Amino acid sequence: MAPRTDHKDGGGGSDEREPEKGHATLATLRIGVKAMVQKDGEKRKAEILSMQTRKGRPTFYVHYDEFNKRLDEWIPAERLDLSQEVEWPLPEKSDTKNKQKTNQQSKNLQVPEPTKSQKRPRTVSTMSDSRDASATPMDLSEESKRSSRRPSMTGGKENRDPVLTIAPGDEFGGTPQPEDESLVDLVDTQEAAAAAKAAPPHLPYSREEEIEKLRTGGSMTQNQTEISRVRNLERIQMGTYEIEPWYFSPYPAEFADSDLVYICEFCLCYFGDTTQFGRHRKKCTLLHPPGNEIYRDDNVSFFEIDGRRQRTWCRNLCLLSKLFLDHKTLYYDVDPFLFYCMTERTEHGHHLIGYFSKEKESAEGYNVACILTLPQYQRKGFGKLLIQFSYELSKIEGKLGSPEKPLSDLGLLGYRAYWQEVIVDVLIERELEGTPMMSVEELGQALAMTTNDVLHTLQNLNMLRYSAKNHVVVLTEAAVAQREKQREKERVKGRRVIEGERLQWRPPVFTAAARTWNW
Amino acid sequence: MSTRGTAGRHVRQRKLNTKQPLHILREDALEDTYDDESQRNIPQVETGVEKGEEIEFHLQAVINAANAAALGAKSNQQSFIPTPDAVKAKGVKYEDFYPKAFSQPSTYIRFSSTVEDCIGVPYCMSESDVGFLGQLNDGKDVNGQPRKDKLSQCSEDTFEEVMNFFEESSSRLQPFANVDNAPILALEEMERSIDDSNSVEAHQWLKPIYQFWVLRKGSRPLMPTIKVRVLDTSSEADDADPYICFRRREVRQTRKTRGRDAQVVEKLKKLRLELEQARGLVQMVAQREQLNKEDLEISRKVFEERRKLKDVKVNKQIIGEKGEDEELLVNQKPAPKLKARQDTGQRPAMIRIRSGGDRAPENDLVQLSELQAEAEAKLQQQIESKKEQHKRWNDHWADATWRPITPPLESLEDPPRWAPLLFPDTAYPSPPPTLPSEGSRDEDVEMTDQSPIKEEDTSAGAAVADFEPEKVFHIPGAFPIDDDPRPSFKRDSAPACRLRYGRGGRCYLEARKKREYGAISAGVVSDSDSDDEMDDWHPPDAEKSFEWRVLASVRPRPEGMTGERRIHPSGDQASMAIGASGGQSRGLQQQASAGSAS
Ligand SMILES: [Zn+2]
Repeated sequence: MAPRTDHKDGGGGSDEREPEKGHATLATLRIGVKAMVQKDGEKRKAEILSMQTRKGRPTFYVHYDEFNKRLDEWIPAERLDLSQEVEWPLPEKSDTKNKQKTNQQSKNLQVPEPTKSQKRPRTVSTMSDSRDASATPMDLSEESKRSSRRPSMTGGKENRDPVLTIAPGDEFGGTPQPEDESLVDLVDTQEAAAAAKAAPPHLPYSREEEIEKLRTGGSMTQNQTEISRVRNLERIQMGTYEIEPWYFSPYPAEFADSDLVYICEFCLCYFGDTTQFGRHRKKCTLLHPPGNEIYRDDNVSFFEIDGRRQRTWCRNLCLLSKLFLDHKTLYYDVDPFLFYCMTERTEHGHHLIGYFSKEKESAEGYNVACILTLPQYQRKGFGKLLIQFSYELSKIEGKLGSPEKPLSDLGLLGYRAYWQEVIVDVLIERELEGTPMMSVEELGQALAMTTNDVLHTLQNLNMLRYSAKNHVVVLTEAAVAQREKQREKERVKGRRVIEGERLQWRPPVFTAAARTWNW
Repeated sequence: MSTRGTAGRHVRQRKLNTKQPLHILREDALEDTYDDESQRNIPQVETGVEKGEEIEFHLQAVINAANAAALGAKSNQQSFIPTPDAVKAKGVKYEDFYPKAFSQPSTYIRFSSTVEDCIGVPYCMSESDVGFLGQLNDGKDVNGQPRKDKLSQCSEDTFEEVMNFFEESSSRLQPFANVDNAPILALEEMERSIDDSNSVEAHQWLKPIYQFWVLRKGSRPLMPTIKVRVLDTSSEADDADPYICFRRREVRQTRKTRGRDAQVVEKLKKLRLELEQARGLVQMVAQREQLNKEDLEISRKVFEERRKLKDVKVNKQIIGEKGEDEELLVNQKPAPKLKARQDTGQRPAMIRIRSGGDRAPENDLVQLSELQAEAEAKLQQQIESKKEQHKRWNDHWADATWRPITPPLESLEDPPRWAPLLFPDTAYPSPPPTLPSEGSRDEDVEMTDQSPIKEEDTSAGAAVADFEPEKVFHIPGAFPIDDDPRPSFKRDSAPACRLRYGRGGRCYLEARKKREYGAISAGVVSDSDSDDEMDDWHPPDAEKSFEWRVLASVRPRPEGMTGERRIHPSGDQASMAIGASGGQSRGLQQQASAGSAS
C-alpha cells in the first residue's frame, strides 16, 4: 500500500475510502461494483465478483454484503436493481509504474465514469463492455494483494492466517502497512508486466473459451485471486447425494466445465465424466478410509489417517472439504496432519460423515485444525460427535485442547453448543454430588478444555457472576432448561455420544527425524 | 474494594482466579440482586471468528438469539445458518456403482494400503474412449478404415492400461510438454519404453491405440489432475495461482558440521550392516525351509516307493515275516527329533499311517538314549569279563612290582570321599588361593578328573622345601589320630587337603575324610606304618581350618620348588596337599612325582 499517493480523480487521499456512487447500466457494470440485488424478496447490497454470458444472457456472480460467501450465487441481470445507485469499486493505490500505464491508457479511452473506474478492468468479464476491453488488468484490489501473500512457510496451519484474509473495509483496510510494501509491489509489477504481454484487446468470449484459456495455463486472463472468489464446481455427486459446493476448491480447472463432478465415496477421487466414474468404480476396491479404525460403536467408526502415509487420500479429502470450508488453505501439503474420519457403516462400506484434522505437533496446543461434517450429514448431531471425539483424544494425551482459529460461523456455533452442554452437565453433576464448588481450571481439566474456552463459555451463557463479593458460577434457568429440552430430545431420538472405552488409541509418536523431514 | 462504585462493573471488580473453587449456585439462590441490571448484558467474548465474518447477518441472528436465551428470554424461534442444498441424487443407480461388498470384521480394521494400491489402473475410459474402443473392436482403426492387424478384441482393461502407459510415459519423458510445446512422443519411443510390467495384450494393442491417443492428446493430461508443484520453484506467480496446491514445505535446515556428518555416516554404516544381517538371516531361513521341503519330498518318495513294493508283494502273494510289511512302510530309524518334540509337550499334528497293527508308529522308533544305554551296558559287560579274566589269571599270584598293572581292588563300601573343611554355617570370606604363584594356580584349573590320591603320593607330592622347619608345615590337631607315637613331624601326620573351585570361582578347602590308610594303593610298598592307622578322619573344626588356610597362604615358597610340587588333579576341583615331608630327600620326591605323572 503506497502511503498517500494523490489521486487526481479521487478527490482526496486514498485513506479516505468513501465509495463513489453513481448510476450504472448493464454496459458499465464491472467486477467490483456493488449493486442492489433482489434476494428472497428483499433488496441486498451485493458485490459483483464475476460476469459471464450464459445462454446468450449476461449473468453475474454476486456476493451479498454481510452474508456468508456460501450464499454467493449466479444471478440473471433482471435481479439487479439498476434504478438505484451503485457503488463503484474503491480507488486503487498503485505504484508509479502502474499509474503511468493507467494514465497512458486512459488517454485513449473516452469514459463517462471517473478515471479511477478504469483501474478495475477485468479481462475475464464477458460483457460486451468495450470500455474495459483495452484496459490492462494491472491492478489488484487491496484484498487480493493481501491474500496473494504466502502463508508462513513453516507454520503447520491448515486455516488461512486470519491477517491475510481480512475483508476490505475492516480496521486494517485503511491503515498503511509499510512492511508489506515490497511484497505488494512485487506482485503488482509482475502482474502488470505479464498482463501487458498477455492481454490483447479482446472480444467477449464464451465460458468455453475462458476455460480453455485457463486450461492452457494463461491464468493471467483473470486476476488469480479473483478466481478463488468464485465457486468453481457447480455440483458434486457423492454416494447417493448431490451437493452444492459452498466455496472454491482447487480441483482440476477442467472441472469448472462439468455440470456434475463425481466423487468416489471411498477413495474420494474425482471425475468429470460419468463413464470415467463408472469405470473407476469397477476398479476401486477401497471400502473405508485407508487407515486404522480406532473407534467403533453401533452407529459410527473413526479412522486415523496419517497425511504423510496416505497423501493421495488426504489430498482428496482436503480438496473435498475445501468446497465447504472457506478458511481452509490447501497451499501446503498434508504431511504434518493426522486426519480423524468419522464413518457410518452399511453393507456397501464405510461412508464418510465428516472429519477433523489435527497437527502432529501443535505449538499452540490446538487439538483440531479443520473440522467438517459433510453437508449431506449436517444438522444430525454428527458435528458434536466429532468435537467430542477431538476432546476424547486430548484426554488420552493428557492435554487441554482448543480448535484452531479462525472458526467458521458454523464451527463457532457447533463448538459453543458442545461447550455449553458438557459444562452444564459437569456443573449439574457436581451439584448433585453435594459439593457445589469448582474452579474454572478444574472444569477445564475435566473436559480437556482450555481455561479460556471454559471462561468464554461461562461468560457467554451469563453463568459467571459476582455475588456477595465473590465470583460464583450460576446454573441459570435458561441453561438448565435448554439442557432438559436436549435430554428430552435424546430420549426420543436416542443419544449419540462417544464412549471413551471403545476408543483404541494411543497418541502417535513421531521421531525427531520425521519432524526434520517434514513429517 | 473497588474505587469504581458503579454496579455495572461488578464483574470486573475483582480478578477471577481460575484456580479458586467457585460456588455453583442456582439462579434463585443468588443473594444480592441489586446488580441484576448490570448482568442483563452478555459481555463481549472473543468468538474466534474472523471480524469480517462475525458481523454476518445469519451468525449475528443466531448469536443474538442465544444471548437472549441466556438472559432468560423465552423464544421458540429457531435461528440457523442457511446452507446450500445437499439432496438425494435422483436417478443414481447407487447399487450399480457401489455393490454390497463390505462385511465388517469383528475386530477394528487395520489398513495401510494407499489409494494407488486400491484403484488399479488410474486411467479411466471416458465417453469418447468407449466410442473408439467400440470402433476398434468392430475391426476399424481410428480413421474408420479396416484394421490390418490380426488382433481380435481389446478389453476395456487393456485399453485403459495402454492409455495409462501413454499418459505416464509422456509425463515421465516430457515433464514440461505443456510448457515448451514439445512434440508428442513417437510410437517408436513408446515401444522402446514398454516393458514386462505391462501385459502381453498391452504390447499387442500399443500400435492401434497410439493413433487415437495422439488425436486426443492435448497439453494437459487426459485425466484431469490437480496442479501440484513438483519443482521447488516458488515464484510469485505460482503463489498467486489458486489452482496450485499442496506445495512441499521447506525442509527445516539442520546445521551441517563435520561431527554431524561423521555421525550420520556412522549411522548409515550401522544401518547397512544391520540390514545386511537381517537379509542374511532371512536368506538362511529361506534356505532352511528349502531343505526342509526337499527332505519332505524325499521322505514322501521313499514312502511311495515302499508302498509300491508292498503292492507288489500283495500282488505276487509274497508273505513276509510278521511285521515285515509294517516295516516296509515305516522308517526304521526315523529322526529322533520326533521324540524330542513330543517331550516338549507340544505334539505336532502327525499323520498317522495305518499300519494294520495297533502300535503307534513312534513306539517303533529307536531312541538315541536307548542306543546309548545299550552301548554303555555292552562296554560295562566287556570290562567285567576282562576283569574276571584278569582275576583268574592272577589267581594265587601276587604282583610284587612297583606300581602293578592291576591294583588291588578297592573296597567298594568305603570309597574315598571329600568333605568340606568348613562348617557349613561358618561364613568366612572366600579364601585366597592357597598357592601364591600365578603359574601354579593356572595349573590347578587345568587339572582333569582323577580319583583321590593316596596318602603317600600326597605327602610325596606336597612339595616342600627340606630346609623349612617342619613346624611350619605341621598343623597341629589337623590329623586326628594324634595318639600315634610317631613324632609329630612325621610325614604321615600331614593332613591331606585340597582346594576345590566351586561355582562362581569360590574356593573350598577340604580335608580328606577318614579312609583306610593306603587302601587305594594297597600293594604298593609303603614305608609308612599306615597299616596301623585305620581310624576315621574327622572334619577339622573351623578354627583349625582357618589356621591352615592362613599358614598355607602366608608361608612364602622357597625358590625352585614349583617343579617339585605335586598336584593332584580332580576335575574342576583342584586338589593339593599341604603337608610336611619331613626327612624325605629331594630325589625321592622327584622320583615319585615322575612316577605319578607317567
Ligand atoms: Zn474410488
